[in-house]
Amino acid sequence: MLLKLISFELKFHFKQASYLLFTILFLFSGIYLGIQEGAINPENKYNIHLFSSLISLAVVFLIVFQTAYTVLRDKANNATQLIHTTSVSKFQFLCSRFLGIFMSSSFSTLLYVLGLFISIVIDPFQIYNDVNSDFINFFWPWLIIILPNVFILTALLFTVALLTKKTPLIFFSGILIFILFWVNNFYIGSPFTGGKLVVAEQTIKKVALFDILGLCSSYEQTQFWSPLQKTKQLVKFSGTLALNRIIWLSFGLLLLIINYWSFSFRLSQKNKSKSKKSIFSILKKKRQNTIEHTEYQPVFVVKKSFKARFKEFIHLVFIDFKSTIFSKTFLLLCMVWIGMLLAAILHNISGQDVYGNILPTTGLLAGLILEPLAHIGLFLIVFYAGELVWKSRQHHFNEILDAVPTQNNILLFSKYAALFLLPIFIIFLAIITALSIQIAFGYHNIDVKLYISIFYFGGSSLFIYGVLSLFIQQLVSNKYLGMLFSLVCIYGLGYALPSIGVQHPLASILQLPKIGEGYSEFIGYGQLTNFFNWMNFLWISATLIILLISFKIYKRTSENRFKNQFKLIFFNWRKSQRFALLVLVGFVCISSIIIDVKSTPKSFTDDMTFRENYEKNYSKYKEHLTPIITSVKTKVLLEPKNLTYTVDGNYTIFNNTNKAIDTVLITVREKLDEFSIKGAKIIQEDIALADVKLLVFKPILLPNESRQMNFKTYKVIGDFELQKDMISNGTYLRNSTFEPRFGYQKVLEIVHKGERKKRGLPIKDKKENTKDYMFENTSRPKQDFETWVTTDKGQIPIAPGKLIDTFSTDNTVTYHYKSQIKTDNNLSYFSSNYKKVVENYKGISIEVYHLPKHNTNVDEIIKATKATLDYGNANFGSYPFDHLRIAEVPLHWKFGGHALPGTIAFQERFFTQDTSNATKGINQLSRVVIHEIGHQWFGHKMSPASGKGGNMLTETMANYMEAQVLEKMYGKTMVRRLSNFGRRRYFNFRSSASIEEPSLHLVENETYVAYRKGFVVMQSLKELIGEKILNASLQELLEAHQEEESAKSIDFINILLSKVDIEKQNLINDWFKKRIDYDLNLKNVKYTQSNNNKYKLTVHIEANRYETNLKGEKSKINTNENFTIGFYDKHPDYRNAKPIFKTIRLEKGENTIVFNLKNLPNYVVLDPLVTRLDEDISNNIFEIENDKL
Amino acid sequence: MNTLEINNVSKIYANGTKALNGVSLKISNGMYGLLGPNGAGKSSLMRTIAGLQTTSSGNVIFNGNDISKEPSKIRQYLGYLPQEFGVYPRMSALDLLNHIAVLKGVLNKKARQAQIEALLIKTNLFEHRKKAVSNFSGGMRRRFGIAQALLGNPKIIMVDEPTAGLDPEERNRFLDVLSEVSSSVIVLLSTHIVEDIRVLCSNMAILYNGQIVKQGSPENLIQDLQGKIWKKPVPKSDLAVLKNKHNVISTRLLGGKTSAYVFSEQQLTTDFEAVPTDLEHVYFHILKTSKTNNYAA
Repeated sequence: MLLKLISFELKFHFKQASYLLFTILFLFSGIYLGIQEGAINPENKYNIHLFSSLISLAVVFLIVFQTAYTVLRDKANNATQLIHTTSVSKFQFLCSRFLGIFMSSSFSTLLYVLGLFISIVIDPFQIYNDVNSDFINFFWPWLIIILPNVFILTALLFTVALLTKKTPLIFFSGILIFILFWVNNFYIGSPFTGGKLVVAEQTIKKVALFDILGLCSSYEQTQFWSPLQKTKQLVKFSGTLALNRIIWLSFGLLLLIINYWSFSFRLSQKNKSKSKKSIFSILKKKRQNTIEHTEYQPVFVVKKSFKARFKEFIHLVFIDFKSTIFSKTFLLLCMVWIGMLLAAILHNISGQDVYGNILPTTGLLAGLILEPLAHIGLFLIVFYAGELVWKSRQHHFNEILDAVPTQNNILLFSKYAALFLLPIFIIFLAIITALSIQIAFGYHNIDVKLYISIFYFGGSSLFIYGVLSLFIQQLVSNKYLGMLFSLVCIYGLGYALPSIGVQHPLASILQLPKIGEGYSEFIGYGQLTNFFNWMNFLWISATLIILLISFKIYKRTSENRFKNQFKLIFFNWRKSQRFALLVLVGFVCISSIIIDVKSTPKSFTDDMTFRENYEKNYSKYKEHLTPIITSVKTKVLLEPKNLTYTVDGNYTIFNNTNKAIDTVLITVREKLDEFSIKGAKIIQEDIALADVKLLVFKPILLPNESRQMNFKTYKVIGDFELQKDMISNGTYLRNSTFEPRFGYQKVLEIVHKGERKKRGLPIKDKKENTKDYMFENTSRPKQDFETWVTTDKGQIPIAPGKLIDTFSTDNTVTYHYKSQIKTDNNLSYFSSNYKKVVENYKGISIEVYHLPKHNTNVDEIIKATKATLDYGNANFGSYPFDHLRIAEVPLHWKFGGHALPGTIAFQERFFTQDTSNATKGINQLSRVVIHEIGHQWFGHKMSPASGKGGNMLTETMANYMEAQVLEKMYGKTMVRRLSNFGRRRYFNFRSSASIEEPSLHLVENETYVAYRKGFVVMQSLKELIGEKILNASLQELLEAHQEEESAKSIDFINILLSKVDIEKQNLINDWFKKRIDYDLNLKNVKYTQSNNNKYKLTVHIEANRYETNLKGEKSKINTNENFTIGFYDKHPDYRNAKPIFKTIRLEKGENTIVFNLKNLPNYVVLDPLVTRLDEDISNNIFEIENDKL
Repeated sequence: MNTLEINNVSKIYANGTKALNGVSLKISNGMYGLLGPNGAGKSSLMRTIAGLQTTSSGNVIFNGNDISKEPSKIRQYLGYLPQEFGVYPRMSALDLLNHIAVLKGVLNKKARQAQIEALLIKTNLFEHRKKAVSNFSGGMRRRFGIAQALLGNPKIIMVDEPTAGLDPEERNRFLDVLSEVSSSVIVLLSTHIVEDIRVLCSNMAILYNGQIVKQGSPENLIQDLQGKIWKKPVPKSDLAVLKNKHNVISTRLLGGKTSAYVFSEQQLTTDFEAVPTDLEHVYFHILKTSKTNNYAA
């Protein structure tokens, strides 16, 4: 019988429209992802695991639908008594229904995996050489992740359905699982969310166990895997992942047992409870008896005046709104919403580890509300559109309601109004939550207007979705089908065209630009607002057309059929309706034309085609000699109010090679209006996405010959052009935007392997890294720089160099800057309505330019600046300028800071950093200030030659400066935290790197090597040779390379090697020239107390060292070096811990070392300052309790 | 005087079911009964009159307005109690009546409250007025249904199977209420309980397979059959033979013994006993005749 019941259930599921729709969607999603270029790397087993597992998220919704249909179908069809009185046993009944959902949903997910597998094996673009065509790679994630997830989710939702018998609560549970998944992933910075956060291992472990879908557990297992491991290795069913699966499967099983135990075929009696008689009810009864019993009389019915209709409308809206917001589902949703916001806001303002605390500014909080609002609002709208439309029918109240004389348009309009009140309500709740946090944190600079703008920026898209959802609900014959169609329609219209490469803003149908993260105190939402307004106008007009049709076809009868309603769209338009339609169509056309004309979309295909042509046409000039720039003179006219700028450049170029140059290729990002080089002729010009010119020198440019190069560019920034360089208040114009660059620009080449293959470009050899480029690095002299920067009056223009003079007219102000020494070619021009704070410090003018509102952190910036100048001057030679400018730039610049000669661009967010509590973690503000000032020595005073290893001499050294100055300012604990951050981030990012890791001395753009590994290595180096020798070596390097951009990483290594013995030389070579990491394990500490009250500690340590070759293969190598061990009275992360450090020598494998100490420490810590790259440092700490020998 | 004219109305559903087939009726103030077996088309006719579904052909005229084209013309004056209805959860009888009253255009708060109060008393729901209607028993819910139908100023009240499932006391109370209001309005009562029609209605129609097979006053219809219904106790085994031989319109069990009721112009044999004709005999006779005449939808 059970088998027959299961077979019946499966047939039931296979006949559900929603099931078929989901299953087809799953299959096609699998196929689509498989053939989508760049989406999935089939050479990589981990990548396959990641993408296969993703279906776990979508299957939540399938199970929600199927559970609602299955468990509640008896109740919905009044068949409960019929079914419950048959001879079916409780076990057969529950088991068959559960297995029906479980088996059908598992089958759908299997189709997704099959779709993925088939499309990858077919590989239509033939991009990949080593496709994992073994089905086990796809089946394994299905077996260990997806199938258990289907079981757990079915058990959970099945339980909710059985216990509550309420469809909204089943849906709500599904949404909650979905939200919790994203919260978990954001919290640990998993690859699903971009993976930029660095979170402590213990936190990840906890979240990995807590994650019901087990995807965080996969991440936990693979977070430090090297690219080679990810390619070759399947995710193992072990460790936290296995524990997670076992815990949640047991939980699912437990739920099923509870279900079996609590389920009864008897009807629930809970609604039949007698009303309690209280003193109040007795009093009420007395009152009832005294009321005047009036006889029934027909009463006057108001004729349909406007006032009467309005009253009816308000009444209807009120009834719907009230019944919704007081429903359990909505209240739960509000609780989750507030919880989510609190978590997001608190997580953001109390930054983790290195990120530091941030002030709860209204701009930040508005962004944090807008981002999740788009998602939760969408679900809210889609769900309640169904609930409101189907409410009367669902409760069989429709025949009574449909027979009332209320006009159709009032009935329908009231549904729209009640629906739109819901997002307004949750936005209101969000604002109250945000305000409470601001007040609680003592932040009183509240921007009410900005809060109100959330209703517009967040509510508009919900209005659009709402109209669409209600319209769809009107057409379909089933509420849940309507919800599903609404979601498919909203996502389909929004993302279908962009997903096939159409990049035009109009291609995202009914989608508004995301504006949440774009808020900057410089300009608010700035140019985005203009774009948003037009897009909003367009889609709201289009939506109003839908609304008009919705009103036209609305029939209150129960016999609404899509065919009948569809017919109504085309016939019987009234004159007023025709007029409204015409006006709205006009709005749509006009706004579409305006958006099309004003936007300058650069499609992915256009960009790729440009790069392809560039490489094909000009790569032959790769080896051609090029001149260099020796003098830069610019006149820059910034007109921020008009969003235009003009650059008039007068450069001197110089042939610093020993050969004559006859042709030269130049590439400019923006089109040049005028261009000339004395004695040179343009023979080829190619203006596509960049301005490319080929010039012939006649006469040829001889060695050591200089010539003048003049150019002029005039740029008008379009209304919808989201140009970072210039906004009306906050210009930051980099010279790379307009300056002609000599020679073939390798940076423009297409990197993506598939794209290269498709376009017939040679695939780049992975092993390119093995070639030693150290001898190919080119040196070049530095340049003179002088500029006149003019801007609108009221703003201050800033550029590198000494301020020579200022001029002003009625409308403009001009500053004349000239560099005191020769500089590298790293220049930018600023302009904004700045407030200027100046302090003279030991002959250096420290100038901070910031927005008047952002004055909180100016003192801390100046404090860190002084400390850095002191350390730099004392150790690396004098600071090269008489000024140090720090100027604020808008939030849309994603860097923290950018160092120009004597001038630093400092991102807006640091001016809203909360430093009041920073000493507990890392003072992020000071860290970035120190880093950027560090570049004045390591970057400007000493500029590296172009080529590999350059970043080691700039970023690694600036990081070293961070550590040194922060230690002076805030102590060693902060350095420990920072080094630990570097260590973790190094392993984290190495794991997601697409190419194998270069050694530190050959680093190019691998930030995880230059910044993170570099930080740790410099700490090792300092421990090995001492701060004094290290700083002396750096100063030697600086002095040798002041005149030219000529320093190479090998130069620094050679200086170091010349100062140390052979043992240290070996270690230095290992750390800088190889990929070395450690596995240190402080296994045990035992102690005894001697007669003289001293403690004898016996410490057992296992030490291992590994080298990874260029293929990513790791092997154990010999260990024999000194390490530091620390004896702490408190945990090493406490700032006021007082450690005793000792140096020990460790060899490969087991080591036992005995110490005699005066006091018994509470903690013994191996490598306490985190100077070695060790994946797991949690086993480097040993807490002494009572483990006496 | 209110008038309702139903002119040759047919209704064919999308699945091909012919629910109404050329129905024509003329009704004025007073109670009018619609009698018919399940599936005869009573509810379809009521929904069509209420403008809840369109007609496939024909029209419905209420007080001179074609409500097939303008259903709002009847809704202003309509009190409708469908055969089955539910209510919004957690809403009290008072709130729900208030809600419907507003939608019916009773916007004067005082008048609305007074009418709701009177209706709650009349339907004996006053003490339950603050309880959720969704928790009401079947009888209470029916009474609530009539209360909502009487809200405002209805000129036509349609009640579809209103007494089904009510106990005798509830049924009487319900019929009393209907009877009270029927003098100045049209009350259209649809039922398959013959007794309700007999007690209340001055006029009636019998529907079968979507067609009106008989209409008139119950008295006249009974009169037509007076002296033509004969009763004969018969063992179950002989019933088939009797049915073949005579026009058996119904059978009835009394004290465990079956009696057959036969239509005949005169006494057939001596063991046939003449019985006074009641409306139920009329109903069964007409149904039998209709089946024989093969009225098909």
